[in-house]
Amino acid sequence: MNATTASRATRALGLATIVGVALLLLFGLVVSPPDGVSVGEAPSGARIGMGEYVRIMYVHVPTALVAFLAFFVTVGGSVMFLIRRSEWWDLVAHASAELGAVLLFGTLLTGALWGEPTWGTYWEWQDARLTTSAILFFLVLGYLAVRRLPLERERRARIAAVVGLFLLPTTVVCHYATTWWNTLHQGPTITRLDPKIEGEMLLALMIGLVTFLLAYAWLMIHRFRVLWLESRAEGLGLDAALAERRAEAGPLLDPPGAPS
Amino acid sequence: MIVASTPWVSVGVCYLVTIGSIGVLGLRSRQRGRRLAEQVPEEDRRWM
Repeated sequence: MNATTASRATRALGLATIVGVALLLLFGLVVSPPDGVSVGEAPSGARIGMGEYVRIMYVHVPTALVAFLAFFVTVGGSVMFLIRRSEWWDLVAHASAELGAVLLFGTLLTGALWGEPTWGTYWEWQDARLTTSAILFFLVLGYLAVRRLPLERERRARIAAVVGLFLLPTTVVCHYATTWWNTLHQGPTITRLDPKIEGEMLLALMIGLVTFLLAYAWLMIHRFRVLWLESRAEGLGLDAALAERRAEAGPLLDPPGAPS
Repeated sequence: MIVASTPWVSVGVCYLVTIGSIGVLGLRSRQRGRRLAEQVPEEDRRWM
């Protein structure tokens, strides 16, 4: 009997993720060339680019795209829960939101560290992509806070599903922010037919994307199973507490000689 | 700021945070799953 959240599928996905991470480190940090010379280090006549900082792109863009995917899954799970009232869909939405929050935190942090040398600032509130990303991050934190409310499970799941629906417009606006508004953040790099990068850079970015997709699938199964077990354990704890209360109140509720 | 003092420090922090957070979350989930599985009857987790 399996006494963990691991299975043959998670082991295969975990192994594939580890291989992906190794390839990402190789291609992202070694094989991929620097993008010209960064502004701060450029001698006269050198091509100005992002220099070594371009390597941040191979984790920044994939974490952002997979976070968006995670939020779409949360929206889908929330809609399905509201239609079918199935715990399965509720747990799918919850697990995906957790992963999306972690990935979006990584996106924001890597973006800030990339922004300082290329834009001269870690954060710019007037930038549409940055501001909508921050709104999205706080919205998903709010969603996860709702999941911890001390309410009856069904009611908590219903409120969370309604809050989860707000992730749809926020994610769409965040994704298209660089297309709809011309602010500091650059436009799409790969989500078009004619990508702006090529060669080893494009390959490293694709490896990053596949690696974080594999990691998402791997963690999604683990988190879903953990949440399922938490739900069962919570139910068992409630049953045990009720049985204990009944046992304590037993003599008062059923006095000797009372008709059964 | 020391993080931005050289490109490789910033790049290293970015890789460490993104890949590290995935690894930590995976390991913690497995540990929590193992603890919870002991509390839940076999018939409730047979499908896993």
